[in-house]
Amino acid sequence: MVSSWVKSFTKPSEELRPLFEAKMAETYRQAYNMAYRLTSNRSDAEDLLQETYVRAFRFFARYDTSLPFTSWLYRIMTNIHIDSVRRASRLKTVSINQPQGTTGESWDLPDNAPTFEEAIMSEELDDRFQTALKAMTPEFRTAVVLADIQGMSYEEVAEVMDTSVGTVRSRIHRGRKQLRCQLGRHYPNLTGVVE
Amino acid sequence: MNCERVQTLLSALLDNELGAEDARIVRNHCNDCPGCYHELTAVKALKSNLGALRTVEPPAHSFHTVKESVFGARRTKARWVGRAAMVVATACAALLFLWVSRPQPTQGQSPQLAAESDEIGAQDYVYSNGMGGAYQPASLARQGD
Repeated sequence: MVSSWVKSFTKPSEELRPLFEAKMAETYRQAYNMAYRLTSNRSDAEDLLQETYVRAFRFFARYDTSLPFTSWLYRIMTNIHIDSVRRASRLKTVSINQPQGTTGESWDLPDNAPTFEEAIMSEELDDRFQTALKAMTPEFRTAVVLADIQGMSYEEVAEVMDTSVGTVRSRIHRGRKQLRCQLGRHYPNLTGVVE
Repeated sequence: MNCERVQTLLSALLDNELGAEDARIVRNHCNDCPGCYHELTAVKALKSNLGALRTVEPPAHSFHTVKESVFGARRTKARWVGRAAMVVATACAALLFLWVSRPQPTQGQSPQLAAESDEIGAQDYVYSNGMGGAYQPASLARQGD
């Protein structure tokens, strides 16, 4: 009797396993790309992806199948990413809601400028953008990656980031500005994009 | 609409996330303002470059590693939950058994038990059977006979 009760307690997610496996296979490649763009590192991307899918499977019974799986998955991923960046960051946090320029430190971002040798070695446009993405505030980076790399609408980004469309609009505007600022800092010769 | 306001709306304009009226105002402003027009083209180039970034492919064994950890973690968790539930259920069953088999209070003792206690020398007492009547120990009853 006890064992049947235990089985009934642990069974639901196991029953959903085939569906979850199918969803995982379907989204894995795209999710890896998203994780890489957020973390800028293959190893960190894999860790982020692993934690995302582990958590997603744990709560898969709560997933509403009428909604896109990727939106739900990316919400989990971005939450994990933003939390881990905040935890890891030893740097002073800058409020993303504070208007630019009021404190004089809004763009006081970590200086991740590559050395001259590194810059020479990584001259591909992709690497330049990834370096600039890495230096961004996590909330801005997430909004820009979702909109510009994953191609989501503001409404979809708002759903993933669990915020309003107005906030998304502001984060994308400020995120792109920040990205251009970083590109200008690291690659001043990149014409047409930098400030 | 001034330049500062227009520039905050450029991203939304390029993403087709601006209302028709605002979009018209911003476009007209950019046509007349070289500074804002330059901003518009720069944001457009940035967006275009981001959209053209290659899709980074996962390493060959990555999918299986992650899959293993997802379902392995679940199995470990399920096993742990199962064991914990088993311990709790066993403890509850033991407590229930102890509660059910606890000793009954002396008042309302059954006639059979009273008779047994009579055997061990409680002949001088008359026990109530708890139902309004009284009975004599067997030894006294025998004496009475």
